Amino acid sequence: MTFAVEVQQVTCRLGERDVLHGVDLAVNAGELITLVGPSGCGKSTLLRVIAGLEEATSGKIVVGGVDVTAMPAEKRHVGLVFQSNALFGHLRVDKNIAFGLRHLPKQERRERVQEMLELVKLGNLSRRYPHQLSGGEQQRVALARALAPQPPVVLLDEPFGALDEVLREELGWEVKDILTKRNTAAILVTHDRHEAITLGDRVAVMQDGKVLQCDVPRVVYEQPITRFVADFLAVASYVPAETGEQKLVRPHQLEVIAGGPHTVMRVEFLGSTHRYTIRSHDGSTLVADLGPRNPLDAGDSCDVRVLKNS
Amino acid sequence: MRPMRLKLGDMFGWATILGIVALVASPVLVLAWSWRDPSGDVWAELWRTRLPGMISTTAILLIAVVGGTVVLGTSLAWLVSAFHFPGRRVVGWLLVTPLAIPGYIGGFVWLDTLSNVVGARGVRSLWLCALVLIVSLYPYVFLFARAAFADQGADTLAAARSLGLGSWGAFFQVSLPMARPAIAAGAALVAMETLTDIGTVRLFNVSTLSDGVMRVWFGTGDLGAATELASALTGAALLLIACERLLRRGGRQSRASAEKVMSPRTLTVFGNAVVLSVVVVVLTIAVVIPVARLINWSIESNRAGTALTVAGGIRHHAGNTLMLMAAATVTAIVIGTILALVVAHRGRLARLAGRVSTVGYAMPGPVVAVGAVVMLAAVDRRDVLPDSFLLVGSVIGLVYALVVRFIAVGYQGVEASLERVPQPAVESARVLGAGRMRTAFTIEVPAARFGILAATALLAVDITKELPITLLLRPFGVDTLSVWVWQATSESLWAQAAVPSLVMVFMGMFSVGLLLVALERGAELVS
Amino acid sequence: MSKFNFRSSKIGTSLIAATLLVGLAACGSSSEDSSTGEESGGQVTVYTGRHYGIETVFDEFTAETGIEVRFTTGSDPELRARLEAEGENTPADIIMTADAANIALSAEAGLLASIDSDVLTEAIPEDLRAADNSWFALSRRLRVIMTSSERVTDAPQTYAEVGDPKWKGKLCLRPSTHPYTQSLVAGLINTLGEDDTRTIVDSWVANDPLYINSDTDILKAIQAGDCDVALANSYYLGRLLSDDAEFPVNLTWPEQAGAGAHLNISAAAVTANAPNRSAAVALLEWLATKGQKSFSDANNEFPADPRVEPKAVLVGFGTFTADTKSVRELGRLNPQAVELLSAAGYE
Repeated sequence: MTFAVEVQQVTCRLGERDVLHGVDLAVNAGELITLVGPSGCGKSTLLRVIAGLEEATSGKIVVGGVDVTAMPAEKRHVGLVFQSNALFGHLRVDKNIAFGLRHLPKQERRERVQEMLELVKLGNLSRRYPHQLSGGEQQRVALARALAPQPPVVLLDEPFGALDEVLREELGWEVKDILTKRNTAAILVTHDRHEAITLGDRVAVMQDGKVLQCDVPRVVYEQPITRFVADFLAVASYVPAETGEQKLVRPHQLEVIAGGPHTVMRVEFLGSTHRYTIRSHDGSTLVADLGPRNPLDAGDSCDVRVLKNS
Repeated sequence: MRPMRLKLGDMFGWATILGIVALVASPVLVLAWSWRDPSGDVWAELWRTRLPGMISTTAILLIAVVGGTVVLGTSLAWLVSAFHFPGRRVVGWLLVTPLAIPGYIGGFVWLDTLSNVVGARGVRSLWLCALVLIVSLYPYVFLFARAAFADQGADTLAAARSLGLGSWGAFFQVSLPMARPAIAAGAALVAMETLTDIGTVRLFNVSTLSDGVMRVWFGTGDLGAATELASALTGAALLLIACERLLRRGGRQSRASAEKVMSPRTLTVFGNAVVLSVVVVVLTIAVVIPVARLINWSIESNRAGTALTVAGGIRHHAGNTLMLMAAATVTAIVIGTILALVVAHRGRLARLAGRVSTVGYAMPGPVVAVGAVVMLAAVDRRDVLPDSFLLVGSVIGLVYALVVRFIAVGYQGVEASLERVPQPAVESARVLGAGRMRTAFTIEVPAARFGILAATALLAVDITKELPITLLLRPFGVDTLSVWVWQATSESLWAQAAVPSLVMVFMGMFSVGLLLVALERGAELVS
Repeated sequence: MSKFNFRSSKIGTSLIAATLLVGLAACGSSSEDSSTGEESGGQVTVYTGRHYGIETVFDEFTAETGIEVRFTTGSDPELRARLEAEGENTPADIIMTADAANIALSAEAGLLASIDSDVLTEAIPEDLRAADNSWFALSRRLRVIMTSSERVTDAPQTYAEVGDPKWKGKLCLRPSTHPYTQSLVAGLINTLGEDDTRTIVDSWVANDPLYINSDTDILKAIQAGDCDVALANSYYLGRLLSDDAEFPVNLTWPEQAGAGAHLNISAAAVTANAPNRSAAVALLEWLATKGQKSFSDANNEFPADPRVEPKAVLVGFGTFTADTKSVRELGRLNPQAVELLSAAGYE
């Protein structure tokens, strides 16, 4: 089968620094991959290399079955949405969306713009200028503009980064919906791990210019291939396993019982749960989430147990 | 290493850069060729006699003028940005108008006026020369500093105040350091103008290096030696630019879009009085007295019937000035914009190449004029143009030389406003299928349009004032206002220079008005 | 290509339009040129470093001969540089300078043509033209001693006496950037030798002179009391006296017991590559004969031809001897003069 995007062994050197070394990533048609990693790991650069805004030093990039490695950005036919400041301030919303549609006849172009406006629910704002829109509306326009030429893939570089949390979550789901509706593949770069896990069909974790793991959220969450991935995605505790190795447990996999060798250090109220931070007798730190009942306080002694099948 | 992949578009871009740079830098480079046979004896003599004095005089004048314009321009910009007082908006405009008065006109008016106060001996001093230059050049710093203050968010300042800084403390510790790169850019322009000035320093007997260039050339007839001195001067000027770049690198903070613009504070009655009297004093010295004196002279010379008889009269001269100004300004801004667009996104080497195009601005005007003549005459001699058309003495030749001299103003203005176009917008356009050309002309140029307009207006102001190039290269019968002023003032017929001077000043005011409109609209667009 | 780039072609068009605009402007002016050239008596083109009142003189010539004169003004060295750069293509038939050194430098650079004209050699004294007749003086200007008629009774009689310590702080001079100062010193070097000239210049500098870069302003400075003694060209006083007969400055002819007052000239020459040589010679001959009076009178100068009566105001200055022997040497000695002035600390 053909992938919407396929990145093969891509390296990229910017100035004196190797930003990407040997990245492999393939996105299926209609699939949303979220891309996370610490800042400076190369996730934005990867998007820019795919879009053609930076040149790959070596490797191969295929978009919609076409090898675009040597093509300039304008020929690659990918969509790109930035965090902010990407709209053309001197053009109206409809002209912004129509920017990538020059190849279409006039009538068709107009219809496509209208379709896009409705898709992002901005039908009544087509004649406004970008500075007359709210932050969320601006990002919708940016998405509509990127989708309008019907690229096989849209690259989203922290598209909700400049928005407040409520709006961010709402818009996140809406974008996923829109992408699914259009059957458009997407790579979404985010620094929000929660967003990465909830929105992504698959989650790719990057570190030092490499994709460490790329898999469905549950697998990445529960079976991270390295300790870095485990720690990066969510709070993790480690308990000795039967094999003698350290076994990863997430907070919801632990049960806390009053009395025992460990000490409760801190109790945080998280709304639906309480989070216990526990100092174990061997000095390691364990984190557990428990239901609304709160039987223990900081300073109490306790024991922990790993829940099965959770 | 990344393999060098030379693409067609890249090659085209580089060819454009090198072509334009070669075209506009060649008159200067042709003269710099004189270094192949350095005039050792002239240099030795200069070192023995005048050069040390010229260097120290130039340095003192430069420090005085740059220092003075920075202090005056920055404090006026701060007053207009941070405080609210009656007529604030109008004052903001009026403070730019000294740009319309050429230094050599302000110079002879003040020389004459001050002679009556401090005597003929007292008036010929470096300090009064510096003062005249300061009041005519401070608007460059004022414009840049005001734009920078407008860019600083109110929150930054509020934060500084909340940390216990008074409004003066906030100014010195927050606003001023943040505006430093912009002030440096304005100061660099002032430094260039001061270094290459000949008209004003001559009036006040201040022997600077530019004056020395003319001294060597006119005194010994040795253009080669004069050019060597001039290129040494250019070297110093380029060093100054490098310093300015260094300062500019320091801070490039810009206001986050959500932040509020600095809101001016209302002043007490006493505060109002102080601010307004400062403004009145500056404007009186810089504009009111020179213009009043010119009007007075015009009336006098008209009544006495001693007005210089010039062919065609004032309308002919004003028409020529306008025509030349329009042709040269449009050409310079078009070429400057193309150069800035091609240089953008091409990295440091391209920027360096672009910078070479600005050497014409760092040379004394007469030297550029001769360089252009040498260049154009060389083309004429090859008979490449049809019908025995000669570039020297044609409007094309003149426009070319003016572009060589002033392209820096257009290029740097456009470059600075292109830098402010958000990178994501430019990249979005590329990704949406627009090539470099389409991106440049449908996204970058429209987004930077007010900056480009401002650069155009600044060019118009400069070209209207220009003298030595117009004098040497104008076609027969195409006399301009500045030529008329020169003819009268070179015979010390100050009063007879008054009418053309006044017309020039009013034409300059029009361009300054255009500049202000452009800047204001541009500022609205950003906020 | 299916995607014809419509917008960028529009931009291309506007660029071409801008270029055309400039081109049209140029054509406009060049067609103007050709129309003036096709009138009856032909045309002559002049580069002139002398511009005060020159236009009326040319108009007179045109009225008499039907030959059009078109001219461009500028400073002598710049016009020479232009002439040199243009070479064979120069439109200039005549170059006219405001002093002797600059015309000599043009001759030295091979930019001038020798003219074999009896009219010219008859009208212009031998000392006032080049040995090879490549240039001719058209008027004489003298750098003389000016004193306040109100405050000075014992005016200096020689250039050396101007350096007398009693004028300390009371002397006005033109800066050494100006050709008049340079020529004066070159003339002194020719008559007195370098050492004596240096002594004189040193004594001037020791008097702490006020340097003013305009002869008119120098005379006005005497009037205003800023100085009592000055060196200036004679015609500036002529000009001021024409406006105000009571102008309080006296003129003293210097060196009357010696080589005579320093004499400089306004000169003209036919260029080596003159396109209209015969018209050029015609203008030159006219200026040396019929036009002598109006040419000299326009600027209150003495005609080069001593037989032509100078303007009345000049006659009032009395008779004098002038240093005619130095005129041809001024160009050669000019760099030496500049060096001497620099070494003496003359501003």
